[in-house]
Amino acid sequence: MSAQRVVVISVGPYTPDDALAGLETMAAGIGAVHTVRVPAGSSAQKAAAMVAAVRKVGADTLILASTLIAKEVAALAAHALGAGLLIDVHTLHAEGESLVAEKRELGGTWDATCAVTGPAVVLGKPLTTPGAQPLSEPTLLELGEGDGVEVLEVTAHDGAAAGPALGEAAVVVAGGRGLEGDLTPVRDLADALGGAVGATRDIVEEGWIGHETMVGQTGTMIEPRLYIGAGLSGAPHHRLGMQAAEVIVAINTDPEAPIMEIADLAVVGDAADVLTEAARLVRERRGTAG
Amino acid sequence: MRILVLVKQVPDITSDRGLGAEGTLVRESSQAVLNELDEGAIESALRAADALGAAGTPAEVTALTMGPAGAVAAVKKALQVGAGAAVHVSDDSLAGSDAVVTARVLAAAARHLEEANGEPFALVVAGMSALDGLGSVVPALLAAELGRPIISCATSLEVTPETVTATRETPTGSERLRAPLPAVVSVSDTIAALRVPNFTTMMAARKAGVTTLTAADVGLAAHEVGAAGSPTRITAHAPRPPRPPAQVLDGAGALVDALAERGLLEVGA
Ligand SMILES: Cc1cc2nc3c(=O)[nH]c(=O)nc-3n(C[C@H](O)[C@H](O)[C@H](O)COP(=O)(O)OP(=O)(O)OC[C@H]3O[C@@H](n4cnc5c(N)ncnc54)[C@H](O)[C@@H]3O)c2cc1C
Repeated sequence: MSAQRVVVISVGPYTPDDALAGLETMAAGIGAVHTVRVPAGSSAQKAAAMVAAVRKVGADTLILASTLIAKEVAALAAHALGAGLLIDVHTLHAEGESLVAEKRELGGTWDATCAVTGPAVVLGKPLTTPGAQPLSEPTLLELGEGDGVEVLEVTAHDGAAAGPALGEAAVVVAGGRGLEGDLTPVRDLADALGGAVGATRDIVEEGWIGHETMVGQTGTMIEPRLYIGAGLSGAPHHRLGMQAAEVIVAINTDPEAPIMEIADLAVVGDAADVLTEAARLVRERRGTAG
Repeated sequence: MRILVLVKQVPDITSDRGLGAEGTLVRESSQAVLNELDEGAIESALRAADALGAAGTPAEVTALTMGPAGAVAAVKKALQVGAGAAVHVSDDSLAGSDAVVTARVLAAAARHLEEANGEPFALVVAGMSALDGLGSVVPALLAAELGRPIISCATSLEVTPETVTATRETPTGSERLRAPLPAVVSVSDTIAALRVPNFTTMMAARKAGVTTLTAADVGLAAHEVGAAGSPTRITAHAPRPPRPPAQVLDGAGALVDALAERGLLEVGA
């Protein structure tokens, strides 16, 4: 009964396979899917390439993985296509002529359903299944025309963070000031659980860890299955970015810390000790010890 | 030269926030505050004006907001710290505008002001997101609407009479970008803290006053704005059930047991 939509999924040069698989799962059931990959370039160049691809296959839906930079690209593409924008959605389906999305609002405290009729650009936040393989091999696009913005310099963070990308990870272990400068225990448990490492803005500003790990309003907004916050207070700006997590675990020496108010499970104790011991026990259970 | 800064009144993130009957945000003016990220936008606009002035090109900052009556507080704040002019687009027909329409209205207002002044805004500065919807797309939509380059999420800015150069963080590193003026930029909250008003700026703010514009004033018809003009709509919404109090566990062993019981040890890669 639903009108078949034609979908283009666009991914960047560094999108991991499981993130692409997540987007393809999201698009399943909406219509015919074409997957394309854009090379590195300015946002306007990438948007122009995507718009050309959408027009070429006659699609009415463009899906991108939601990150702050992708939002810039999506806005430019939506404007060129005269499309509506569905932002930070985790599921998508077609209903008659409309495309309908489920998302979380107000820092994960509300659920909302949004609909768009006509062309749509979607910023998707699907939960990825670890190790999932994409259904298709993306077609590599050529960059389109820019808007005058020149990319003068690109600096890659060193030690290209092992493990899944923070925005799509099913498990995130985040640390704060209570780690006292040494994030080894956070990395250790994240590694044991196959999760990504997160951080508060305060410890990013202290230089204890890179900006790419920051969770919150101007960092990454996450919705993992499991979030573990250790040695962090759960300040409003941080909560805004993680409160949509399915299960929240707090590890803190202070039973009155605000993070305790939204936690499902809590351990009152020293963050480093609890994380290190938990990592050892998880490895034992998962049979990945040693 | 002229610089435009976009500001917005939003509900305080620490207050009890909710969505109303139409799925749009309940805007209780008692809890409304200037969107925190716009403080950095105002400061960046003022610094850009200072830098241009020092380079021999005097520049003035205009603050622009769209929203119901109470939203005027956001532009007044900009006047108090040194913006030279303030504009408030306010019209009942704007209620329920989505991001696409919000950008359309702000762009129309910018164009209206540019025609009145006989020159384009060399720079439009906005915060990188508003802490209500957290969509982060309005600055780029506005740039597209105006046909100007966009650099969003800037953590530093350098403005000359010809160009703007910015740095920003990406998921894999950082970038340095340059755009010719006129251009649009959005800034991160770490870019700069808002200066404190002084006696001169406070006195000037009192005299300046705020210009109020309707949708018709900026050349938009009722069907182009608000819920009527918006491609997206909220069809259902509900508060998530409150989380029960945390189950307090005794140490790492009990934690790992609890995670295993809930099947959470296997969900990671
Ligand atoms: C405009 C603005 C924007 C911001 N945006 C963000 C954002 O996007 N993301 C973000 O995270 N923050 C953001 N912040 C900062 C935020 O307000 C908090 O300051 C920050 O999140 C606190 O970091 P923290 O929890 O690491 O530190 P603290 O608040 O200092 O908390 C440390 C916690 O560790 C606990 N602790 C101490 N020692 C131990 C120990 N040995 N073991 C276990 N627990 C221990 C303490 O009990 C305390 O609860 C922003 C702030 C501003 C002003």
